[in-house]
Amino acid sequence: MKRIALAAVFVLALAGGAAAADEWGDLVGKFTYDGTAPTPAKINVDKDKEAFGNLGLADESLVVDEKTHGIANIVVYVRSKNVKVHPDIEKKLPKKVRYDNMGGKFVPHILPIWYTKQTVEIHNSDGVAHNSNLTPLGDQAINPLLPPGGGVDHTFNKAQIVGVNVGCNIHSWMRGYIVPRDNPYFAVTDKEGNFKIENLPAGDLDFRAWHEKGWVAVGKWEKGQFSMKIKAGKNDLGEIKVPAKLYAGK
Amino acid sequence: MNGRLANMIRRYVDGAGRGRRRAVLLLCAAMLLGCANSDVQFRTNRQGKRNNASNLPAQKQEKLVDGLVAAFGTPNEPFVWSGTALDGAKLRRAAGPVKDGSGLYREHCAHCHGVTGDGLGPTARFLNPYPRDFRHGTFKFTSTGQGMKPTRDDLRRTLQEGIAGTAMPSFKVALSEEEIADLVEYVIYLSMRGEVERDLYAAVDDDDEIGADRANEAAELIEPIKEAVEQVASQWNDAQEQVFNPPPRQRPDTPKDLALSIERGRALFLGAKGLDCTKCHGVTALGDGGNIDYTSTNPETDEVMKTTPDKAAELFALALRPAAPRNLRLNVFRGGRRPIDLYRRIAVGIKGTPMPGRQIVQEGDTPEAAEKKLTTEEIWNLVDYVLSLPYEPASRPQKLPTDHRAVN
Repeated sequence: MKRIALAAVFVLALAGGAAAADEWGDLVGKFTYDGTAPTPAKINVDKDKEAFGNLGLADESLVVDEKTHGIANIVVYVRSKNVKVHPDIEKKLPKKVRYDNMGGKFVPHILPIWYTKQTVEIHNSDGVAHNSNLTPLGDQAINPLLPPGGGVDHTFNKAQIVGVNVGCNIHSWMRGYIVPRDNPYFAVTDKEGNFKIENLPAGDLDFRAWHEKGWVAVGKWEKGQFSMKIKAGKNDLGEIKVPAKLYAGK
Repeated sequence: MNGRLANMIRRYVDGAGRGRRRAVLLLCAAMLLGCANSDVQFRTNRQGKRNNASNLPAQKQEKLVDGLVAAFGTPNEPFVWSGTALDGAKLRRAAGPVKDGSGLYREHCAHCHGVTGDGLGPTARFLNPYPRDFRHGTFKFTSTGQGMKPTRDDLRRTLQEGIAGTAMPSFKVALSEEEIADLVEYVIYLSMRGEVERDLYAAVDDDDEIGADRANEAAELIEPIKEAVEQVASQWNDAQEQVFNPPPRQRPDTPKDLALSIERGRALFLGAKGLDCTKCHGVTALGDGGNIDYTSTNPETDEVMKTTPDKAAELFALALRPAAPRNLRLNVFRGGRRPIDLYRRIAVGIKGTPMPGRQIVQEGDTPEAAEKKLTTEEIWNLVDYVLSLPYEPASRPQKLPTDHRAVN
């Protein structure tokens, strides 16, 4: 009897494991700024004024939507190690993603990548030369000069927990970030502060939220870390209000 | 420092058996001698104040120091972790107090570069440029490609020749070739240690388990240390094989050919092929392109100066200075004045500075792709132009002597 019970438990456990392996969920959420939306400072275009002087360039270090108070450019990623990856993700994933110098700024402003599967094409769409200077911690530093229309392919060798700063020394106001990660579970908030990570393995997962002004350390989120039990289907983190004082003076 | 924990960590590592016996011997010796000079320690890197991260909690900080002592030893007793491929005999001659058979680094280097190799020796603040901080593993003048470590030969050259226009002297006369090789080894050791410290800081900071479990205190550090040391050491060891040499060049034979090459170089310098040298070096090549940038070996410097300059004093030990583009008319070229030196500066850039590297046309490039790159010959044209600049009349404005009677 005991043996049968044990066997039953074993079979159940197996079935449970198999079911868990096939269950995938999406996580959505929204980050909003709790305070008056800051007005981004105008950039003093001191180089190539003909090219960039009339584009109305503004500081992108904290972009808050006036209407919805959504905070753009927050990266949310899965921090758990050896996380199971949905088989469809790699199939759909572009092998090469472009990080562009366009209109005197980096587009996108922040780019997370799955560094073992994706190459970054650092490109220049502008009519003047740029350089892209990046020094990832513990990884190869590069600083290629990019003539108009030019580009280089770069592969990272290491995951990072914060964005690698990309700068252009010719146009010193330019500032962007690339976040090499060792899994494909990441997303960047859009201008209304929304993000969505698809096809997460069901179960307990650790996440982290990072913004270039610092960890999104709201409430009990030490260093922007939070944990969630992901269930199959839809999961909603809800609206996370980021107090204005978190990034004040940064 | 917890010597016991450091030894425990070493015991876990394959091939560190010799180190273990040595460490035990050392411990015995230290007990007999009452730990002479035991106050000489590597200084801890001041980092992690950004991104809302406070400094590491005391327990994690202690672990980090233990891990570093396990992997690298102390300024008096350097330890060679298996896998770094460092030469222990050389390190021991360079490390330690100044006396027969040891102390070369403290005698010749530490007053500027500091015992830790952090570029914070007592004379550092009086120098311009500041002495190199080895802990980032970034060296400006190398024969290797973009973002690569220098070869041992590159560092030897810097020690032998010095760096023109800076406080770095030539040690060609003061030191023998063997002594220079000992110091090169020690500089690589200090670099590796500094890089592992930075890596380990990030790893320890991000790992919730480290510092949580006293019973497992040594084991939990092994993997992060091994990973960091292996990664850093492989970058150094790979570089030794990666010397960047252009194909042999047909040098301009006649003054006319040279003038033609200089003219082509001038056109490139002034913006042909989208090069934009003038944006920093200026149309005049005096370095007056109006570029203000704080990029240095530490990538955080420029970011901090541009975002929160008032925090710079808290984060960096020395007041930050802008990275000035070189005045090319002075006839002083820090990375060396041989054509090959200038070729490398232009082709691969200067590491840890705003000076970028260029892409060079490869065989099989489509015409459109080649159009966006430089040919080897075009880089030589630029070299010829740069080398001609100091001799242009504009570089040597002459004043009439006050007394202009003929002198015999």
